[in-house]
Amino acid sequence: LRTNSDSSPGLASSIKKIYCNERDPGNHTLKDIGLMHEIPKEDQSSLVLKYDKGFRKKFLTEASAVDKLCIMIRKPGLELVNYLKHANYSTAVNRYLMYGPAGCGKTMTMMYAVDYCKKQGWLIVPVFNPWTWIQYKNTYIVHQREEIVRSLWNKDRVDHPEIAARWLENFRQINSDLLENVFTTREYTWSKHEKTKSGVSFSTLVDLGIARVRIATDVAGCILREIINQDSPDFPRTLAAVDCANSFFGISTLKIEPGVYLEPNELALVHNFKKILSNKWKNGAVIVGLNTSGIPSQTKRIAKVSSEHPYDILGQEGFDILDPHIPIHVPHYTDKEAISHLAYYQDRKWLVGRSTTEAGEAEILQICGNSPTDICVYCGHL
Amino acid sequence: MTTVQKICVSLNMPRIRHIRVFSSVSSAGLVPKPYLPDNLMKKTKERIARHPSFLADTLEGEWSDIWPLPNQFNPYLVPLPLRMGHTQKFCVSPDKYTSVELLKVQNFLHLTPPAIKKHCAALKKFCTPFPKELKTQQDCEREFPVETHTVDYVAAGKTPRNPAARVVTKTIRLSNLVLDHHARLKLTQLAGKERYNRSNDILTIKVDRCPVKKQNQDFADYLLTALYFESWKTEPWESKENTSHSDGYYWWEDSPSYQNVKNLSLSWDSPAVEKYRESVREIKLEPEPEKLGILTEERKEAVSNYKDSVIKLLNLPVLA
Repeated sequence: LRTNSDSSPGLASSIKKIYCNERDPGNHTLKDIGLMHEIPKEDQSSLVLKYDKGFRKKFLTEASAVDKLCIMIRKPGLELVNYLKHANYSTAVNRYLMYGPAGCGKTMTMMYAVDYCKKQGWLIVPVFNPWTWIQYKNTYIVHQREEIVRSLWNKDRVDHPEIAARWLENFRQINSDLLENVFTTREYTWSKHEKTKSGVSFSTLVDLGIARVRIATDVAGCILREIINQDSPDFPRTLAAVDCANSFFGISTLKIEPGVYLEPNELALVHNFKKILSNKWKNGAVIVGLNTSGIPSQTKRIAKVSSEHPYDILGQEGFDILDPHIPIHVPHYTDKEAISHLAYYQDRKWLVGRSTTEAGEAEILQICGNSPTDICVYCGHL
Repeated sequence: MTTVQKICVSLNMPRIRHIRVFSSVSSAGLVPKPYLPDNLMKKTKERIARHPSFLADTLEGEWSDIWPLPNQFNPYLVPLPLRMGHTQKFCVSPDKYTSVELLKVQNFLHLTPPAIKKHCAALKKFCTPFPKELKTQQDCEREFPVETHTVDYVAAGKTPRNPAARVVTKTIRLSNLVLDHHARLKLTQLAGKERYNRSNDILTIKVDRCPVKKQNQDFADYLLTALYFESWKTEPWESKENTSHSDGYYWWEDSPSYQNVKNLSLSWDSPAVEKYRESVREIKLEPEPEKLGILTEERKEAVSNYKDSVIKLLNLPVLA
């Protein structure tokens, strides 16, 4: 039994090449697994959204401490980009489902694919944190619970005025250059006095939605309807990146009247986004991620299901809507990837001293296993 | 067959004390000598010989005339030297003339084998022969699909009644009933998992809730007819309820999966569609896992099968 020595440098410090030189994720190959794909500062402003950021909060704080935003290139990411490259875009949309244990990088893989699509010039519909849609943000401050309002468009459904406005701002930020070139095809009547003629560009619609918060949800719905019913050949390819999709098929803790809980189907935003999950439209792709950490429970006594299996948390209804899709398994790190993660930290001078030695490395890997979140959290303390 | 009779003799003699003597007599002829002086033995032997019970040979054909019907025990008619009852100190059991126990207990003296044979012979002229067409088990099932199973219990006890005799079990193979796929699904779901055996397609209904067998039989008939007719009806709430697929049937043609695949506008003859159908079926018909959410080997396999079939369906290349 050879003990790990305290003085000799570990495997992580022997890795010379940490960053991938290719900026375009489309050109990454299987050999690039383990390298870090850097997102430069210009792209960061469009990828890292203002509200409901795609990346996890911890990751962003770490990125600001380390001064670089990097996504590791892993096999699921390469697989996904491969499918996106070769898919047939003249027929119906392909759906890709990311599943795996908690904290293993499903959202990161999704951001990797979003980066690829941005470079290809696609229109991106980002839905990164729908947990805010079905839960109250502040549970204890009662007067702030004005997040839901009955819809004007359809009386059965319920709007989210502020949240929809924030979504529209996100949408504008991530697709800054494309929105001016896309036009609506129908006239929309928002209320008795407000109309929008057909042929208006998306950017004006979005501005209207942000300014008039009351109709913001309906504006979001219209944008989605335009995407689904697209006709013209100029319409850009659309990627719908929906994270935490199991929130659409579960329960919500919102109440419209005291004692009456709403179902996610009654929420207008959820209803519209479910339409985009189906494969009735063409010329695009849908990437769906699952998440178990935010499941609400109405009585707070039900145990949360933390599941690796995709269809347990997605439910029968979710499976039916997404069928046929390609489930992509995002597992824990392989050993090589774990070491390259540590090498990245060392390169950024976050891990110094004993952590760089063999013994330190072995200790970190022993404690965290191969789980990406755990390594992130643990090294954050060091 | 050797018959062993226990003869218990009580000697009624003035000067000698009561002696209890047991002797077992076998028809082979070996008689162990009782412990008595010879002159006394001669007297007792005479008494035994006089008893009409030992004329049993001549009575065989006539017993059914003497005892045709179930009847209370009549010691004067029954020629056997029986004793039954509680014994007091130094006494033998009461003999048949004085025993109340013999009167209380049920006897089957009307059911001797010769009597039964006679009875059957008398009934035979009213019977028809077993039909020649019903040779195999399948013929019988075709003509008489419903099988009724009842049990009668016979025991010698205080009462002839046995509460277990009221149970009635009716079985029917569902392929003998006219059912479309919705009706079949509904029938198996209404009946429940314990009553329907999927491997041999037999529905079993066991009824024991009424006190009398006839009542239970009528109730079982009623249950069968009710199940059959209810399964043909479609309630308005039924369309959304059938999403659990826990009963094991999954009709792909009716499912939303089929609708989605239609959107893809593929040709239906390709083997990819067939494979896809099988993999969807496998996922949908998974039995309830013990622990929700854990990827066991079989579940993993099911998911990866599904993945491969969808990849082939959509003609996507696999990463090298």
